[in-house]
Amino acid sequence: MIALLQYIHRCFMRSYRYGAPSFIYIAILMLIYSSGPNPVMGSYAFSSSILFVAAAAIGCLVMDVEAANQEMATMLHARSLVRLSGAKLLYAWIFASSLGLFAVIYPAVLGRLERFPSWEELGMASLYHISLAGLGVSLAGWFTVKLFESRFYAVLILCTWLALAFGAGGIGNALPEGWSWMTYLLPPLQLTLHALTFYDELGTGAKWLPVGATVVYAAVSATLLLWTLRRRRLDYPGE
Amino acid sequence: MGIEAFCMQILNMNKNCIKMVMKEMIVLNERIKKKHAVDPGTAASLIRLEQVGKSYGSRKVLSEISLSLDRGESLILRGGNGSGKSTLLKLVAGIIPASSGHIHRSSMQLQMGYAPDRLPKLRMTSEEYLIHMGQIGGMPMATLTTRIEELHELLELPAHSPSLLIHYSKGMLQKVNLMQACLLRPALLLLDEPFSGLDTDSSEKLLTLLHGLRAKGTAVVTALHDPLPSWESVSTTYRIREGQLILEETDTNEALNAGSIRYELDGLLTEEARAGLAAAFPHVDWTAAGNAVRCEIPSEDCHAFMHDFWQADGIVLSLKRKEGAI
Repeated sequence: MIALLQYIHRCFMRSYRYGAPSFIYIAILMLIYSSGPNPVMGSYAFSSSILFVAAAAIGCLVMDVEAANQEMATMLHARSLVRLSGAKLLYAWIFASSLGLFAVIYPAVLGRLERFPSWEELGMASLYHISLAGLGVSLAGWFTVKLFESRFYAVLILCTWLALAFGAGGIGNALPEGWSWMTYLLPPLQLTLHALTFYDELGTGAKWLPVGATVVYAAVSATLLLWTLRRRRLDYPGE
Repeated sequence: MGIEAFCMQILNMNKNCIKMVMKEMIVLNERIKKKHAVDPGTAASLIRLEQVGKSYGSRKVLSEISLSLDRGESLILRGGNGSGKSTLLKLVAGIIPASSGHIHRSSMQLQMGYAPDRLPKLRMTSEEYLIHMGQIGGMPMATLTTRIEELHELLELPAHSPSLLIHYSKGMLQKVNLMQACLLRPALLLLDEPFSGLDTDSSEKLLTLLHGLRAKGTAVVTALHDPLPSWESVSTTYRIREGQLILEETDTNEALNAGSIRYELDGLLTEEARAGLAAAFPHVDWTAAGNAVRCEIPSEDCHAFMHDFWQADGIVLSLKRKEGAI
């Protein structure tokens, strides 16, 4: 797995595909924190929501970092598409998580927040960011050329899915009586954003619930994705 | 330099070539014998395809393909563009799933090497890329480094070149592609148009590599467009036509029976020895001028004739394989 991670890292770095999402993400953070002071957990709520989108973009780019022929050769060396795709998801998660940790540490160290966060706040904010990075990556894995004939449609549907995740609360309210359970099918982004926004008012369980829900959702999504890829293998729909 | 010394030099140069041809012929004979003696798809098969089909939507690319492949066996796939050669290779490699039928592998951990029709231009040096592939395949670093240098040397590519693959020509990329496929000394090697983009010298080097791997027990499946007699002589050729796999054995047998495969030998032999050989091999055609001889040897006599030729202190100047009607 380490050899696969090293290879994916080299491919991703040399492809410069990380540039656009990382640059935009960091530029937004710098813009937001150019003026201060900012509320501690409220700021983290904002940066985690931006990270969720950036992680989805990174997930898409990492999953498709290899050309079709190149991936076939790599798969034969790795002896398993599940191992190769799992390594790509893991790498994308690590990469996105590092951006998340930057978002937690940068404003605190540079004094852009109204006060220096407590260790508990720093730890929980890091966990929220890391779990949302995993959620974004696990969703993005579905919307690549491996499962969609057109990259355009793949990105369009991913954007729609992300928008639905952001609007889950509103959608739940708008649904008829008895249908609100459907919002549980949507990515639990709102739970994290709610927990960060109202952090001081929540009990321990309510603070940990978003982390657990996000990790479970991401794990289920990633497992189903790997299972689907194992069945389909590299039978690209475009061929 | 005297004529004797000159001839000896040529003789030494030709010895390896002749040995290779003879070895190929022995293997070919053994294969033909084995083909008639053993049912295809025995328990020893590396991989066995049973009624395998592949469809994309309503388009049927391959249907009812049955095939088995043993250690050291070589198989050529021919067919027009889009006939399904690459699809069959991918099915065998397990890169894509079959729509119908079953594929049995001798082991779940069967080591396979696959060279796609072309490797994309990567932002890595060939050494970096091959080190990554070797490490992913679990090769120890010391063995990997040696193997990479060995393959670079064999295919005449600089091993420690700082140039990235994006700056490589088509032929150079193809060499890297082939190197990654052969890196782990696979039990089954699948090559999609391996000679595409290679110059004559490199093609010969690749053939040497393939013969070497095959001799060590690697089964090789190649999708080919162009004729390649040296490889065909040790391979079973199939043609994919309308999704069906058709054995081209009939043509080969007819060719052998009709004697259309012959070997042309230019050499030096005393008149006395020539008379003895001419009597022992009545089907060999002779043209002679003094000690210089040219012999047209039928394929089936070649092995025995060459043996007796050496015994009679004959000197080989050249030996060529010739195909076609006499």
